[in-house]
Amino acid sequence: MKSPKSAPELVDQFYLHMRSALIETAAAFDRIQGADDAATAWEDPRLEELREASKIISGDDPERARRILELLSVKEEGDA
Amino acid sequence: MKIIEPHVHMIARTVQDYERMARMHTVAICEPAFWAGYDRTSPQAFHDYFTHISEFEPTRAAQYLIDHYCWICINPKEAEDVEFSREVISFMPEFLTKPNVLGIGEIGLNKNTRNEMIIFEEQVELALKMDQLIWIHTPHLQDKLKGTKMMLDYLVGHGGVDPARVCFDHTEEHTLPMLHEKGFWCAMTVYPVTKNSPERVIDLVEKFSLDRMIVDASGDWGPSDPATLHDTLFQMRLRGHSDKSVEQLFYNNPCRFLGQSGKFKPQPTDV
Ligand SMILES: [Zn+2]
Repeated sequence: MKSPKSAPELVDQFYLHMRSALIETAAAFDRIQGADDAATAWEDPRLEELREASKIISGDDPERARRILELLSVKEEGDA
Repeated sequence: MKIIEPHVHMIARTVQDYERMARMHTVAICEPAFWAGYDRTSPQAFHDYFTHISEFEPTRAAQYLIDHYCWICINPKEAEDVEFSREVISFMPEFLTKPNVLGIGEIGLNKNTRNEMIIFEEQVELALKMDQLIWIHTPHLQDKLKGTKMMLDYLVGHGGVDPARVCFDHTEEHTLPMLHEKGFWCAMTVYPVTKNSPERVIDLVEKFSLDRMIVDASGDWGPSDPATLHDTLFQMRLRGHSDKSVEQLFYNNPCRFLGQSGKFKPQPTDV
């Protein structure tokens, strides 16, 4: 079941939404960096994962959402 | 076009949500048994809860011409205490035979522990013994992938489970493909921030077809909104899909899955 819309049409439909989501994330990094004890927060592994996720977004490979969700999942070995 | 909401916890919602759903053409809703936002202190509290969702909540819904159905189970967030859970399971059969109870759910995993898995397996066995449909809750956030794999491996390895009678809920891009490939129904929850957005749900439908796909809003006591189901329907139309496809996803598909219970009254329009 393909998208009935062409890729350029989807850019028109989603560009502002994509722009907004990226700016919100950038602003949250700025907010954290500007607050007290930013150095400790910067080491938070959750933020490190988000920096990794941003590389997935900017790459050319498909299935970005799936790969980011896998990056944010607990690894296979661990408690059970 | 009529709409079915396959997952909503009306015990946690106000009458205004019934009004809004009625105005938005929702004709039937399903309430899986789940956590109440706090741990219940006795098995008897579950008996009261099951009575509430199988007897009282349908009367609230009926005032808005909405058919209310429910699912019964001990949920994964309260399944860590095995003996406590078994007491709850012992009185589930009396509810499962009620005319508006569709099956066992939402069972599943929360923190993917051994005890949660034991209670999941015992409830799968009860479902098979009583010929019940199964509705599965997959864990949240970072625990979802591992927990989904654990349950999928168990059900596939079991040998006696028909995947057409099981729906995995709260699926996303990293869990839906493996479930869909094995023939299970896949429900996608549209939830602010922590689960799917309307856009991502339609992406998944475009990628994996309409077959065995269900959408729900899972309204509960947290940040959630039954209207996100209708937002997703609108997103599908904005993306250029036909009314026939929209109706299949939001009405005919849930009719088909839930209709297997023999108790769900709405009928597919495309027979
Ligand atoms: Zn739920």
